[in-house]
This record gives sequence, structure tokens and C-alpha cells, in this order.
Amino acid sequence: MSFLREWAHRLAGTFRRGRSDSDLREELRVHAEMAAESAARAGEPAEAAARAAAIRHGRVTQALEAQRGQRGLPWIADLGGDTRYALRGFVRNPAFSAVVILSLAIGIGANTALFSLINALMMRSLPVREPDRLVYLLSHYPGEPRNPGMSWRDYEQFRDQNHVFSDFVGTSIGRIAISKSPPQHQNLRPCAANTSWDDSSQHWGSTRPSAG
Amino acid sequence: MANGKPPKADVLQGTLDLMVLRTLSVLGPLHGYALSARLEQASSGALQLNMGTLYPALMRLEQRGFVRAAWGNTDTSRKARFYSITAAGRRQLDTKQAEWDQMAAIIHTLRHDLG
Repeated sequence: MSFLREWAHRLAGTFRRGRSDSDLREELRVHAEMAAESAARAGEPAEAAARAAAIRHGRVTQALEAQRGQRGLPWIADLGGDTRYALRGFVRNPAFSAVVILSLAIGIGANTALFSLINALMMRSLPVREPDRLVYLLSHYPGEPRNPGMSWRDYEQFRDQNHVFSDFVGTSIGRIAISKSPPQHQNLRPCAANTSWDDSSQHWGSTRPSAG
Repeated sequence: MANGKPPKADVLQGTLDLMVLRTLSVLGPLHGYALSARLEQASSGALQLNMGTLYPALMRLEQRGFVRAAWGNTDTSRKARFYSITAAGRRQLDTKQAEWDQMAAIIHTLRHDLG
């Protein structure tokens, strides 16, 4: 509880600088004065007494700094100061600022784009009904790299002889033009589509080819 | 030590709060200078508190609600800020004193019974 109270006080102290500052200074000044008088009573001349008191009790400005550190939350004040300094720098040097902001923007943008891609390709599971039961069939001959492709005949062979999997689907990621109506103009752009060799589309869950 | 004075004691972390609370509880309201003079006297000069040590500690105690401070007049009718202990400060003092006594007893045992 006392910890919370301290922070509440400190937070308040961060935003009420002016009034408290003079109050703190006055208190320290009184202290230094009393110390000097005490030294003077011990028989030292006034100037030497003040110096002796300063050596013994420290100087008002240093003590004030130490006290300021305890009063507010210094890092909040520092953060404000640093931000103002940075903004002033931006205004003074617009070309440099533009380069900095642009490179940061490009860097962040490129990272975001790349992450979205990686996320969709590798991290998120496929949009099928039971993604954990999906496997990817590759062919592999000794001494050769694994091969993800197979011919139509191979596909038919595997599909018809399949005892292991509940179903078997092949895709081709070539580009073909799909259109519901005859092309209106000459340079109709083909859109990307996955052609499925098997029409058992119930296994794809909610995903179906958009134009049939 | 060569000149015969006792060595300047470092203020052990956490003990300054205890010493301040104890002094205020025994002597009543004091201003900062009187407090430091009293601590120096009680330690036969070993404890010389810099303002930069004393006032942040007082402020911390004030922030935690263990002491209360108000401007008032000294015997020589000078304006000074007087610190007095609060009820929460007295409770804190009791707790810390008990902890300190326990620690001292442990050290005493280790120093004398075992070695």
C-alpha cells in the first residue's frame, strides 16, 4: 500500500514542478544557513563557516537534484524532453527526417508483407476441414531430390490403388482463364486458379473454386 | 583513523529510514537540520548526513505517509519545515525495529556462540 501511495505522490510531483521546486529549494537553503551559523558559532569566520557547512552538508543545487529524483518519476519527464528534442531535430533537418521516416516505413512494410506471406503459407493450417489429417504425397528415387510432381497417369494409379488414405486429390497451379460469359475484349487477363483433378470437393471444407 | 576521528559510517540501505523515524518518534517534530545534527551527535560524529542523502529520504518517508511535514517557526523564529511522525510511521517503526532486533540477535549468536 505504501508503495502505491509513494508512486501516486511521485506521479503528482511529475506534473507539479513549479510550486514544489521553490519549496524544496527554500527548505535546503534554510538547512545550509543553519549549518553555516552552527559553524560560525564554533568560532569560524563567516566565509570559512559557509564553506565548512557546504563540505559537511553538501551544496543546495546537488541536494535539490537528488530530491527531484525522488519527487517525480524522472523517466516520464526525460521521455517528454527527449521527444521534444527529437521533434525539433526533425523540423530542423527535413531532408534527413524524410529519409529516416521513409526507410523505416519501407522496412516495416516489407517485414509486414513478408510475415503475412509466411504466416499464410507456413504457420496457419490449411483451410480444409481436418488439416491435421492432410498429408502431402511426394515421390522419391534413391540419389535424387524429392519430387512433388507426378503425371496424370501416376495420379490415376495412386488414386485407384489407394488403401491408406480416405481420399486422394491432385492439384495443378497453372494459370487458366475462367469466364462465365464470352470474353468482352481481347486481352482478358487470366486469373490464377487451382484446378482440382478430383471433384470430391467436400474434402476441401468451405473452400470451393470461385467460378465453379 | 590516523587523526583519531571515528571512521565515517556508510548509511546502510534501509537503516536511515529507521533512524529518522526513531528520532522523530522520541524527540517530536524536527526540521531537517536538527534531525541531521541529532543523528550526528548520537553517532559521535560518525554519521554525517549530506543534504542530498537526508532530504530524498525524508521525501520518500513523506510520500509513503510515514512522516508529515509543515512549515513552522523555530525557537529563533526562523521559518523551517518541520517533520513529524504519523500513525503509519509508528507502525512502520515498530515493524522495522522488530526486524532489526531479530537480525541483531542472529548476528550476535553467530559472532559469539559459534565462533
